[in-house]
Amino acid sequence: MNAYQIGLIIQICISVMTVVAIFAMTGLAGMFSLGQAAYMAIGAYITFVLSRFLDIPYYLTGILAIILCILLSWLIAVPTLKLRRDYFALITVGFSQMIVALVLLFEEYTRGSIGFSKIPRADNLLWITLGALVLFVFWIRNLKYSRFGRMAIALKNDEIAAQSFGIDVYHLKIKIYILASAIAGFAGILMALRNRVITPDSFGWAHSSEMQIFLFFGGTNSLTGAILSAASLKLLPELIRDITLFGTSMQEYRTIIYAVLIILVINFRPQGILGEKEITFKWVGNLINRFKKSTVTEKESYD
Amino acid sequence: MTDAILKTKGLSKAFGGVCAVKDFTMEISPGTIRGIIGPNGAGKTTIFNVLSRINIEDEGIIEFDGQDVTRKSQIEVARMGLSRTFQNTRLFTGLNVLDNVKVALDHAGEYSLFSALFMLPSRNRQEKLIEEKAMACLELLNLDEFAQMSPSNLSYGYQRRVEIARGLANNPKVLMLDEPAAGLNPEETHMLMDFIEDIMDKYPELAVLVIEHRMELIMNLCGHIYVQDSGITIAEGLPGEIQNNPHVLAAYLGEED
Amino acid sequence: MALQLIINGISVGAIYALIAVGFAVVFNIMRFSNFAHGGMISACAFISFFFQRAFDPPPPFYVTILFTAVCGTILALLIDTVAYRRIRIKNSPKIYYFLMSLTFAILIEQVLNVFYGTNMYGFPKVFQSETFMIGSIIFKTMNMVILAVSVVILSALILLINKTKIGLAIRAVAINADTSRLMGINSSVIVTTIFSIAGILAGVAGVFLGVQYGVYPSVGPSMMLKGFIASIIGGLGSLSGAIFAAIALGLIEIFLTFFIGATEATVIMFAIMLGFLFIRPQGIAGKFVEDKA
Repeated sequence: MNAYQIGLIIQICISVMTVVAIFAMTGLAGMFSLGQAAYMAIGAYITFVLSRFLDIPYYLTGILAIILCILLSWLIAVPTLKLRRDYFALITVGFSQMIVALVLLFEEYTRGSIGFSKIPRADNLLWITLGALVLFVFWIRNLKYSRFGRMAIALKNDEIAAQSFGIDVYHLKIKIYILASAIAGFAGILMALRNRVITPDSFGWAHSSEMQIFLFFGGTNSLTGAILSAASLKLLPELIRDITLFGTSMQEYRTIIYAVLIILVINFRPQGILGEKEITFKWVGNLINRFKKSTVTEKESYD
Repeated sequence: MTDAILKTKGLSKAFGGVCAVKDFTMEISPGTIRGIIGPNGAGKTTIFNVLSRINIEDEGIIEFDGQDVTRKSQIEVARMGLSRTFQNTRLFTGLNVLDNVKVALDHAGEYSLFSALFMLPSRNRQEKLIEEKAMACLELLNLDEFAQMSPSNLSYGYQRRVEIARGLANNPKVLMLDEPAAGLNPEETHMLMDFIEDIMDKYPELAVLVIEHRMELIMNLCGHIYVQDSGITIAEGLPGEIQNNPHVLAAYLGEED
Repeated sequence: MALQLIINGISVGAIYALIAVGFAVVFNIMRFSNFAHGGMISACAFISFFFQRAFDPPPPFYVTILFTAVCGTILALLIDTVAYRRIRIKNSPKIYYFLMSLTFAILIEQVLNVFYGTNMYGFPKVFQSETFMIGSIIFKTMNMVILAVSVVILSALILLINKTKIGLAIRAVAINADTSRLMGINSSVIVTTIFSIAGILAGVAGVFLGVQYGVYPSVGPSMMLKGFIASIIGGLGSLSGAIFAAIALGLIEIFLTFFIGATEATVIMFAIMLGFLFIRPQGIAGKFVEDKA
């Protein structure tokens, strides 16, 4: 496998893990946020800018960056999760833009829009990324099938009814928001390691929007849907690279393609491609069995 | 009367100038069932909303399980053992029937988020307990066959029952039913009445407060009835007394189906 | 000098006010955040640019403004039909509004990007004399025009909301959509009116933004956020609050940029906005903030 393919797999994994985090936040707990990219930015910039200027290895500053993500997300969550969802969404957009503005402000350290480059190589980045992905999917899957997941789905459905069962809606939302933001922060660090450069325009609310589109495409109620959706939609531009339209590769149109796809899905299959279903090993097994049975029956009918 | 588990005195609530409930006084003891009836707009659901702390009263005291709960939140009062259903069935659609019942137990689940993320033994232990308790609740009320089904696949009558079962999962002290028979045909209403009687047998310490329109349900099940009209209690007492009360007949029973 | 800054600030604020009100009108009545508003503004900026350039000699400015306003209305109604109507009719979960408005915002910006690249188009000269003087103070003609037009449009809107029958209907729907429908208010007429208003405001805002800042695909979305936040600070239940806050924001921005610098000003602005949202989320004059039961 060549370096390009490895880079692609890493990129897809990073996308999937962020969407999985958003699944926890939006799919399970119903919080619509456009600020996840901001935490990726914080993760990336804090880790590598501090590492260079303080001459500390980046895996140490990385830990600091994640802690900062946790603190900041807590600070944002506490006042805003009491408010209506629209406020929360707008605040996350505002927060996102503010982080970008801060990056530009501290140009001296972050190199602003030119980009912070010469980020060190990480050996075995592929394995680290895959490992992280497996861990995060493990976490979110367990979250869904725990009491926290159930309470989250309940409150997403009907907050008042949820509270009437003693569910502390507010604090649960905060916990899940912090978890999702921490994962995003880590994903940001991985992204920096993969790209070897960080630029502020990869972290705006447009980037967060793309991930929300991936989530809704697969279905907000399905974790496997989110994973498959993120993976395939991220892979899509690669497959159409060689097709051109108006003289440019289809790849440039990928955002438009994403937008059109999600518009189609919302209009014709609003629950998402997978809807409520999860693809489990059992499901795959059943599918294989049914296929086997139908071929056996065919054979029998010829005897 | 024996120690009331839930009582309120002088309860009043107005919404922006419109008085929904005025000077409502009521009490109920464990193991009994009382009803609140009245025409639409009489403020009955507002009483429930104030008792369960969804709304805050303008005046009045509320005592639940011996404590003053006027300063408590909806969540706290729910955890103290006050359960309720809603006029429109509010089962959670993203969860199957069993999970809906589990969710009523989840706040007391005891294992931490950390345990949940890593599937630690404490989480597995607690989950098993929650599952057993939830299944036991469904079995007790003969609803266990629906455990894995999605609520939207059940008939309305069974949805109502699942919602009530969910309200009972955590062994509450008081269960408030808001028009449980709304939308049910006469046969389903009879089944609901049997269901509620069954509950009173199986949960002997439970106090049940019912808001209803359906007279047979109220008259046959309740030991004491409060009649509300435009926010005021126009009569209260035993079913027999209510039936013969001229005020009640004029205001309410006259317009019965 | 200070007066100069004040006038600049007010005219920047006037544009923010147009954006803020365009957003607030949909938010109050239809109860969702129309992120696509930014995209509409960008599209209208391009429309006005090409319209202005299409004729020789160029048409009078007010004709361009009118034309763009009409286009804005058409665009707004189009977006409603394709993006929001299905959700409304099917009574789908509110979260889909977020997603659809977001998607259209992105879609419009990307389509503009594809066709017009990331070149900045400069608006051609509009007025014979770009400045005029009263006493010893120099006024830029464009700033005055923006101010004047904004005042006219916003006053007309406030009159519409407060003094006409349809305005009464709109206010009723803002308070309680279900009861209003029960009382016979035709919701599709209201929706059409609301989006038409939003479209007109987006159109005019697009022209002015194009003139003041240049015509490029992200001109709408980048200003949109400030307009939105102005409407929140002003109080989402109140249109006049939104206008007031928008002008205040414009003034603050101009003064900060002059004294501290553009980049710092941006950061401080966002900090102020976020701070405001934390401390007084209902805004200066607003009402509906907490999630209702």
